Amino acid sequence: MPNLRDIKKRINSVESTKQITRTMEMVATAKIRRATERIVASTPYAMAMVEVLEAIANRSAAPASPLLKVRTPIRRIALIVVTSDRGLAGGFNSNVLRAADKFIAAKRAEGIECDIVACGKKAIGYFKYRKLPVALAFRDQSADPQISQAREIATMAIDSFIKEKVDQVVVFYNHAKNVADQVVTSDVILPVEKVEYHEIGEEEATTVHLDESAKAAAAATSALMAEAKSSSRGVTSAGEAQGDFDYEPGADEVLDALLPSYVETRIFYALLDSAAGEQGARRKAMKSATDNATEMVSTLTRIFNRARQGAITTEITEIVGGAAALEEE
Amino acid sequence: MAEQPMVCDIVTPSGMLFSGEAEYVAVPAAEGEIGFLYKCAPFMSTLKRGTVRIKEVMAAEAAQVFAVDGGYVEVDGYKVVVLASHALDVKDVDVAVAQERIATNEKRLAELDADDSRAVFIRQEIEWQQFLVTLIENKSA
Repeated sequence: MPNLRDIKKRINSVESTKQITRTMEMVATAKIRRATERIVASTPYAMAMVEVLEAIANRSAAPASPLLKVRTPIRRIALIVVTSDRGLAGGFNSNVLRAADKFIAAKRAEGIECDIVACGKKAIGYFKYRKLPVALAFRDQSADPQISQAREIATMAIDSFIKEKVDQVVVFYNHAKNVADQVVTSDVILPVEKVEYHEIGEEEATTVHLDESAKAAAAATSALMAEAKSSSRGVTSAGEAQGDFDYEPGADEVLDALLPSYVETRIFYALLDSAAGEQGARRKAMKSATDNATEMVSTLTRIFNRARQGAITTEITEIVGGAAALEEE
Repeated sequence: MAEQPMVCDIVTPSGMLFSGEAEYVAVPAAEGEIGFLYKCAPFMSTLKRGTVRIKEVMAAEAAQVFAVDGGYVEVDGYKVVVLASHALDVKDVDVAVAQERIATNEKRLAELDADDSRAVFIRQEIEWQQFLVTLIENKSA
């Protein structure tokens, strides 16, 4: 027979855990909205940049930027791993880290070494524990990524790529497919391949998709999104008349100057995407924790009631038995 | 005096820094500063580190000034789009913060080899912050 007081204690503790997880769930929900707003704010920039790149790439016959050159064989890869600073987000971090680890192991088997750029405390801790050297580490920014962080990573990546210290730059991050789902994504960001222009178009499509689901979740952001959309459309209309543009210093030079910014934008986008995904994953994890706690409380309450009823029944039986014994005398 | 205003946007990855109607826009283009009025020829150029000046329509005050660190500009006569990864309203520049950043970055730079790929960014960052500081000093002088 379980002790009544012990069960009561457990109910109370599960109850207070539930309060915490429910609060965290609500906080994450509010933060998803903010993270989505940031993605929306960055969209006009990314779109305008892709358009210009496309226009120039179509114009110039053979772009000769070193950032476009595919190198074979690949001897060294720079790996950018984007995770969060905080845990309690379900499989969010471990999914990315596992994918990155598998990638490193596979490449190592081929004789390719990897330089690691770790974004987020979880990635830093993981690679430190695994005793893998980290070239560059960022912490305390995963919830609120800054462009300067993306710039620092991009500048390092581009410099080591041009100096042939690395032959490829790959980024691993959680793509926020919608508010609830995150997909571990790996993108080759250097060398910039021609196909990637279109791939970015697809990414834009997914961004829009994300916006739509967020709209359903939070109507308040819809006005903001409409504004961002109209402004990005404005940028588009400016880009339509590209045929007779005067380029200064020249189309190829403009392309050379823009490619680093493009790389920077892609990294920034990965950071923002991961930040949105983090909140989505945390909300999901906290929601299931809250649900579990609710279920546990109801099971425990049932056990508690049964135990209490059992104790009462025993007492009554004892009293009745005692009275009967007295009567017999 | 332009008959009609142009639309001018300064777009950064973290959002629109400026969006409005302008009478005159000057940018630090790759081959020297260049200004745009309504109905100028379509033009596209990369930008250097410098300031973008925007004279708004009916603005009582002098032109609005933004500091940019590279990027590009696209003009079609009716609309000026400035894309800048680093851009800042000069009014928002804080000299104390900039100087503090220079100091911390110089410390970081001292710890790295000259050949280290990480150093490139730090050097750029120092130059950018120094540019902001001189900008403010020249203005107040």
